[in-house]
Amino acid sequence: MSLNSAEGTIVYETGMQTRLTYSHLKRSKLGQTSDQAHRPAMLRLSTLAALLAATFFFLPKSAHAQSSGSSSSCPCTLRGTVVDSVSSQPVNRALARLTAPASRATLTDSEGRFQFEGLPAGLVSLEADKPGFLTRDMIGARSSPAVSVRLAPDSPPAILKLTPESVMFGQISDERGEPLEGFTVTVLVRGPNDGQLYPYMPGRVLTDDEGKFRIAGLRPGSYYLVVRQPQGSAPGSRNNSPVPSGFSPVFYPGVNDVTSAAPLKLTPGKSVQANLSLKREPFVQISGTLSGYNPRDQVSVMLQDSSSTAENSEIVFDPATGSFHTKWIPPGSYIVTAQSMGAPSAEGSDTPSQRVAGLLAVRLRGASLHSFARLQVNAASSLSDLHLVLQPTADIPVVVRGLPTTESSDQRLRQIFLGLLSKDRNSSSASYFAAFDDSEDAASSGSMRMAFYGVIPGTYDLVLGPQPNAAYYVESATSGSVDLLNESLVLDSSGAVPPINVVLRDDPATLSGTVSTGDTPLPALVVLLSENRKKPVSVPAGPGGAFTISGLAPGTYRVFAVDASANIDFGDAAFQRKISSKIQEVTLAPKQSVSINLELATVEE
Amino acid sequence: MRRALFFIGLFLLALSVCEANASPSPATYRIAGVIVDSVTGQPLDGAEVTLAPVTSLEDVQTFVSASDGRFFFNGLAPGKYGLAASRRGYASQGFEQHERYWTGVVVGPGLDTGHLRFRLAASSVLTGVVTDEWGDPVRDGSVMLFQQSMFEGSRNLHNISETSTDDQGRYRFAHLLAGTYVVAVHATPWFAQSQMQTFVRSGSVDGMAESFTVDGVIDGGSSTQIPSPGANPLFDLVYPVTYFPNATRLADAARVFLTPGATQLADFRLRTVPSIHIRVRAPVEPASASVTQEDGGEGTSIQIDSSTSVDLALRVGDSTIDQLQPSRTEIAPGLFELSGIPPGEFNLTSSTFSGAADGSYVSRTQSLSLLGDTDVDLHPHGALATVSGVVLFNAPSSAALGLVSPARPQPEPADADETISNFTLTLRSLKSGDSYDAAISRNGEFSFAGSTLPPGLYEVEIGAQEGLRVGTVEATGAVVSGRTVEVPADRPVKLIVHTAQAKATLSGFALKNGKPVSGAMVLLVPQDPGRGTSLYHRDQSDSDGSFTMAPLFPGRYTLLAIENGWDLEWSDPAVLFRYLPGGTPVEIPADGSVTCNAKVQ
Repeated sequence: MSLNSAEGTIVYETGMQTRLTYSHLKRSKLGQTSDQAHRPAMLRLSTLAALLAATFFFLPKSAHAQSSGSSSSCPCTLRGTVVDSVSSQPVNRALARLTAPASRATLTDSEGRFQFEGLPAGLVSLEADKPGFLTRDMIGARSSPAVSVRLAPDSPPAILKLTPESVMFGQISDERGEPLEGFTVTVLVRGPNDGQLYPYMPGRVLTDDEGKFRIAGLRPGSYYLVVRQPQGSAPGSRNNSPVPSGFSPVFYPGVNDVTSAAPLKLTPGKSVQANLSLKREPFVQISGTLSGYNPRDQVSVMLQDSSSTAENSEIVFDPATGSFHTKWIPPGSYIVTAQSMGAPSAEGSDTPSQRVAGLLAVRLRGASLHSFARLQVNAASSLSDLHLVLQPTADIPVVVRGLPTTESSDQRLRQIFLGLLSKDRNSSSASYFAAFDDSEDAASSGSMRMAFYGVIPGTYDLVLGPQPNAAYYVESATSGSVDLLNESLVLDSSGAVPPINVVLRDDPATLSGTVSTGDTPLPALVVLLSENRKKPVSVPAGPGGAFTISGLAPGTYRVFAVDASANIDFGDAAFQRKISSKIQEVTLAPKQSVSINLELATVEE
Repeated sequence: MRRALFFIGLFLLALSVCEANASPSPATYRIAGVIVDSVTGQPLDGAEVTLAPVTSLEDVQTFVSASDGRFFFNGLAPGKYGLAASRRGYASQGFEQHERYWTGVVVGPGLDTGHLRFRLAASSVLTGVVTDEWGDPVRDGSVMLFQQSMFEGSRNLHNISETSTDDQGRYRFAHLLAGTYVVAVHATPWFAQSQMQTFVRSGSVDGMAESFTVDGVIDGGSSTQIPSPGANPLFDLVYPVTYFPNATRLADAARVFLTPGATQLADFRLRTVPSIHIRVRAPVEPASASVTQEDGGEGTSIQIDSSTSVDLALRVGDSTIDQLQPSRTEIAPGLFELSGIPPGEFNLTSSTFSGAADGSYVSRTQSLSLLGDTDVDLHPHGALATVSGVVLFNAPSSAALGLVSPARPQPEPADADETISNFTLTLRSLKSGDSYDAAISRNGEFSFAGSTLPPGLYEVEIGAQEGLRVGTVEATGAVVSGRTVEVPADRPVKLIVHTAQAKATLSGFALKNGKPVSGAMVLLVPQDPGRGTSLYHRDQSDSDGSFTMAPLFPGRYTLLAIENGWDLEWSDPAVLFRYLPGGTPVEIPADGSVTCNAKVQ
């Protein structure tokens, strides 16, 4: 199943797919503020939550279309052409691959043509590959072009369109025009959830001896670019000057401040040049004191640059005196964070184990963040008198109602997933999974108690849903008067927030169907809009166009299907008006299963 | 001084501090000089000169040379400093650098460090484009650069650098010193690659959502569910390792001469050849093999799980490519078919894991020259030898008491896998060159049971971390000579292997007529060198003539210092022999420091 469909396009590290694993979830220290070193883990966590938010209820069943069986006058020959989607020119020496009903492959000829002989009538699936063209989506799953054709003796040739990749290249120099070698050039993308810039991992390269860099394999889209002095080349004294100097990071189109950074827009097959110049300047040092911790507490102090795109660096901290200081760093805007895990093994051995819903057993309460401090500073020159005070974090209780009382707590845990997804645009923000609170046994009552431990102040979205294939949907989720299905949870520095109440119901509806254009079924993104939920929900249909969405709340939905690669705000009213003829309204009664056929809505750029 | 360029960060030097006897002095000193082109002697402006005390290499100071090439560092405490320079169009070099060695600059009373002449060599660029036979760029090709140069006492081709091609098939090696080079490309045709190595499977995050796609690489397991690459000739193609200009044998490779400051082009056009298939029959213990047959929707898949595995590493010049990733099928227990293999020279390793919790295994490595499809039978012919034993790691304290303990040296590796990879006992056949490995267990025991070790003459080696080697060997049931064992066929052999650790330090001054010599090659020659040059040690004398070598294995050595000795092929005994009579005999103890001056020849 393709995943590029959640609330806009998920564009993070392409290596992500291998990392979204159980063990990484464990390692990401759930429920804690992500410190500097854990930043990639946190990114994964928030990504995961975003994915879950979008796909939770709506996991389509395996959508392999069955062949229709009308095999009267075959074996047949499938002919086709691979073309460049931008130039419409044939692509020679492309790999054309048949994936169903059999696995075969061949290279196209100089006219981009290929053929497979001796195939039965019915649905066949095809894909194509060639270096220089995009064949995998951002998280490594095959994306375009996977085409399904209903093969008959008179079938027209299949057309497989390959989208050419985009390239970014340029030259990095200093203020005298001398090339800067070994500097890190990083492509950044804006996260769909929080608007932050995240490193796009395949797009991190070093400049060569001429200061040049080149990043290929990029998908169309908007990218930011930042150039940094290589880590490890710590600035030292230069020409016997007492103050070290170095190069501040520069964002395209040549600014030090991330808020002034402009995106480079890449269209398919386009090569974009970005030359940047960096200027040597004196570096600064930030120092100060920290209070609000006990001598035995495990305290760490971190420095993040305000763009949140650099790797965080540790601050030298002396717990005995409370003083801290940074290394020599470029002048600029920074966030100093401090966090305490409390004293080691304070209650660890006594606390009953806290289980994250259905995921893993960890001593979350013992392992959660005890206190936290954050200070934003503008260090145009060295700063020496900062003072930070650690403040306690909050524990937010959660009560889940509607689960059957007959199940054990373990079984019940598997029915629900709860997360707090930070909406704050700074890198000290974190996301949390709710842990099961079995400190008091509430299994006999109709509710289940959980909690988010060690939450730092901030704005959060509640991410929740039953586990896949579970016979539940979320009827309501509130904190006091806040409707968490549609609004964010705000935790201020007082740490006071009403408990979260979640109500589940066990009579969800199911929507299934097929997406097609004319007579041809095809993979697409199925989008559901509900009057009760502000956010649209999107689910990919399979290669045969089939989809099944279970776990839906009863109610009325507006449903449509768009091309899976579309990058559209589905909630946009103007967009909805444009495709209004393709939108179907469906009303689902409790426990009802409804089947519909959707005509693909074409999106004009 | 051994190389410890700051930007490379070799921290070995922290071990070789030699100014311990420098008395505290309030005075500060100065290092100054001029950067010049090594050929023309012209002063070079804009060169970045970096300086760091050898005791704290991270404390780097920089000076950008002025228009007259001059640089200076003031206010220096007495001590030894590393000096390096880099400039656009020049290779980054340490002061008076030779191979991995260079001259440290010592400042202090009575030492003139204000008039250094730092000769920087102009560098060259080697670049080119790699295309396939249809002119399409070859991406992600691995490009290897070999330099014909003096290295470890012999003038040979050495793999000095590696890079990969970009989306346009382009590669680039910059900052190369003038000299003679060979360049080679190893790549896999993209269409064959995509078929053989990548598949997509659905992974589920335990009980959460099945929606994550895991992109994996066939890990050399024995799954037969992947369509056999042999089934479609399109996917059964490989690129041979190709040497500029499009030669497929090292002997036919062109020597590329780089002149200072030149940019040399070396383009490649790779041509596919049919993959070589080899069938390897390896002995399998019947008890440890299992065959599972699964009737799935797409036919029957057979899962074979024997504890034996076969690996191939391609040898190119003096380096091996272990990311060859041939397609591998275990047809029957112990019968492997490997494909996706270019013609060439290989190391074939077959390993058998016992399945025991301690991860013990035995393996055998042999060299293999492949020109076409080949059957390799690893089954033994004739009688086998039975060898087992124990490795005694001498703890320093117990060694002093004359005791040995079957314990590991410090620190204890935490990770079991690390233990396996770090500690193996190797028997290298002096006849065939094949090597037989056995894992050393946590309590020091090893056994070649299950191995196909034939009787013969073997050298005993330990594959462990650096600074640990076989000291002496005792045997019951076999004749031992030094580290060599004559293993018979008719009776079991028990070995006791005593290890030696490199812990000693040798320091002194290179002196000629009583005066210190800077930049001399100081060479420590073992009386019992064993295989290779691993027991030899070298240093380059620093500006005050001082040198330091560490860590050293105990034993008898001869200490040499040779002025302008950096072009000597000292690995040739005939060359070395001329200098040995003028050397100084040194006895290196198990531990501690030795001071000995070297007479410069």
